[in-house]
Amino acid sequence: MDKRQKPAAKTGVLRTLVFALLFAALFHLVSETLEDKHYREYMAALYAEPKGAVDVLILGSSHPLNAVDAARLNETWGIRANNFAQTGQVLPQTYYALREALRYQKPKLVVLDIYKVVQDSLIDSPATMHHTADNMTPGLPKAEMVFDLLPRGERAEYLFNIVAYHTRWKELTAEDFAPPDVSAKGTEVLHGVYQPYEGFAVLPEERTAPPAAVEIEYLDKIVALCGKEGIELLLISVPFTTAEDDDLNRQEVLNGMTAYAEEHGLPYLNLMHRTEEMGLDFMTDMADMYHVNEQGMRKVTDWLGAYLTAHYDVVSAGA
Amino acid sequence: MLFNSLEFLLFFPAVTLLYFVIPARGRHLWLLAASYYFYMCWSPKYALLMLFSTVATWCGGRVIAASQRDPVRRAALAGVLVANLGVLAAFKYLRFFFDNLTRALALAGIAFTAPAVTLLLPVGISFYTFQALGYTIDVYRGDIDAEPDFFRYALFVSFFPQLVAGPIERSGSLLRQLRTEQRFDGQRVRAGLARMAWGLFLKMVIADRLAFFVDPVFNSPAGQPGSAVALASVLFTFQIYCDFGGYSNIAIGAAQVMGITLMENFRQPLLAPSVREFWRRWHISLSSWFRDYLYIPLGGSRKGKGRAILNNMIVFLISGLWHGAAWHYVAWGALHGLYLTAGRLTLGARRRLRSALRIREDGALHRLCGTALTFALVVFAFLIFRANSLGDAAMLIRAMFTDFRPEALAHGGLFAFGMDRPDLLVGAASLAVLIGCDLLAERGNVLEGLERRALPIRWTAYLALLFAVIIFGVYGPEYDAAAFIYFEF
Repeated sequence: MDKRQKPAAKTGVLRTLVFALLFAALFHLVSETLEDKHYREYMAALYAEPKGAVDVLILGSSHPLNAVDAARLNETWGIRANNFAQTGQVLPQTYYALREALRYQKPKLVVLDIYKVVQDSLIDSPATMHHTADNMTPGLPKAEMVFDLLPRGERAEYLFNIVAYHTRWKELTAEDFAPPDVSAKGTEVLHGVYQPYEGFAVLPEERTAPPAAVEIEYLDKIVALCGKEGIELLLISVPFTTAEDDDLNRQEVLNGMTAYAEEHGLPYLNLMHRTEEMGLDFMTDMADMYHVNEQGMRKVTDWLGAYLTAHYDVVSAGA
Repeated sequence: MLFNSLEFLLFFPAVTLLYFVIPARGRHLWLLAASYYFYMCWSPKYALLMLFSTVATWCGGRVIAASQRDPVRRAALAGVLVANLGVLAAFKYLRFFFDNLTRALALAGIAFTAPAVTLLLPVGISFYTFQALGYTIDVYRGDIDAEPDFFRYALFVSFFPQLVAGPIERSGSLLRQLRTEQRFDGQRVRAGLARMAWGLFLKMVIADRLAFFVDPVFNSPAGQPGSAVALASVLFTFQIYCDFGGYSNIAIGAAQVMGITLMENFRQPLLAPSVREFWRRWHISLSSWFRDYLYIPLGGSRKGKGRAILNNMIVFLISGLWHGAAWHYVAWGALHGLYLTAGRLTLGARRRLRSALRIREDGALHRLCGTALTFALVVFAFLIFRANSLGDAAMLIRAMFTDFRPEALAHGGLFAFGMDRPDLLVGAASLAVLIGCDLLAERGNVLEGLERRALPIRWTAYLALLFAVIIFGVYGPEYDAAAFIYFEF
């Protein structure tokens, strides 16, 4: 390259960079606009918190998403909590969600609902994988999650979700252009009343069944990560009902997790056996088979608030 | 690996970057490895067929070039032709042959059970076979020297941008370019990328969207109203143009980025004022291949009008069969052969009529009428091409003439075929852009014209094109809102 060509080459490189940046900015804007907004406001609440403003992080699937009211824990119990749970999230995803959360906050305590130990899979479904992946910010945890949990050929739509959502240009509404409402601090409130089948009962704690191996593998990783970061870990399982032909024996599996907790020296609150203490009535406090309604959520939250206040140093100074 | 896949989005920049980074003497080896990888992504074992064709034609070329004796040269050429066309026939036409043999023998009352043919049609076999045969024939004719470097020749046969769907390159052009060191040229790279983006727009935004309407009509021909058949045929004509033209643009653009100029394959064919002109603009690399390696060797038009008509029909029948092993492709080719024959036979009468009516041949009205008539003839032929069988084609044509029912497309009926209102609007707007660009292209190269514009205009056009593909392109898993709505976890 002679001397005359050098400035031209410089200009060319500079222009290419500017064009690439412009393209990337537009690509980001278009991707965000077209993205499916279901469940966006829940995980988005964590990103809206100032750094260092979260002492208690709630993690898990839709069960804690609907059962633990982080805003109520803040307002009533003085606990600076945030609910970073996401619907359909199995423990492999939750492990990466924890890593994502730790990029933004350094909680004292992680409250992890382990209901998904009943499910033997790396992801629940493509749709629920999107709920988690779409609501994580670009970075290593998200990229590692996609490469770790999904087979080759299925990753692109999670790394660049416009691949899945680009046809939504047909159905955009004003809501797609509005910022997410993060006032609930990540909690989803369900309404309505569901009544379980007549013979539904809470099984005795002695009836146990083994959990899914893949979930335990990632639960181990969560335990190790919390240990490494000096974060206390509380395992919970919020109340739920089951279908009459529940061949997964979900209650038995969750009963069986007591052994895991003891083995790892972790506290485990199987709230299926604390419903009387919290005053939860399966006939009035469920929104559907698996999730508590607004009233049930209040009961679970208040019981948990009292428990955390009594057992952990998580009540903020200003409370 | 498809051009409109994420894999290609990673493959192409990686191959191109390394191509310009590694020393010039090793570049053809790098491109050869990349091309075979590209092909083997579809089927590793079928790469052996391409290798066979490469070895056979390269050896044939060497023997022809080395020998001074005509019988040896002829035998070598015949051997290469038989071997390559034999492979093509086995993989593409054997099942068709047995099916028809069984049917013919059944008509004669002879029971015959054909052996089961389970061979898959190797991607691109018709393209690379013709390209390799073209080389051997060129060497035989003395038009080019035999290529001494086997690996460079193997790259000529397998060059990935044009490997699976052309343009079918000529050895005189592509081999010569593969011998020359290509330097990085920012302007050329930019123009190539813009051309690739335009190709993706044609393929993903227009062609694949038009399929929403076209496929249901042609795949369920029974009971379709003639109005829907007519519309589907028009849309299919645009679909195949944008599909194949889009692919060609991506191929030409990708090669251009690497400094290789491939031949143009489409030149606004749907604006052609005659069928004869249409074939000078449509799939140019194949049409000119048939002209140079079949029509002219058969005698072309040098042996009288009758022979020219016969040669023409032979070329178009073979061209139809080249497109697919089914009778409706043959009928499509035959119909185009008949169009050209009719055009040739009525040439004098049309000239006299124009003179009597004082119509200028180059006048706007004459051109417009010619374009409209040509378009109608081409659309009708494409109906037969797209139909799944000759029987289906007959059913669809019958519906057009006996059961037109235009009201079937009114009052929302248009949207009942698989293309909703937003898709129709995007499809119509995209077609308007295509037609506008084709009209502009009649006066000069649109992308070159854009290159001369001010930077903001250029960048706006590039970004608009890219985001049109990203937003309106047909790709990815079908988004289903229902799958994203909370159910049970």
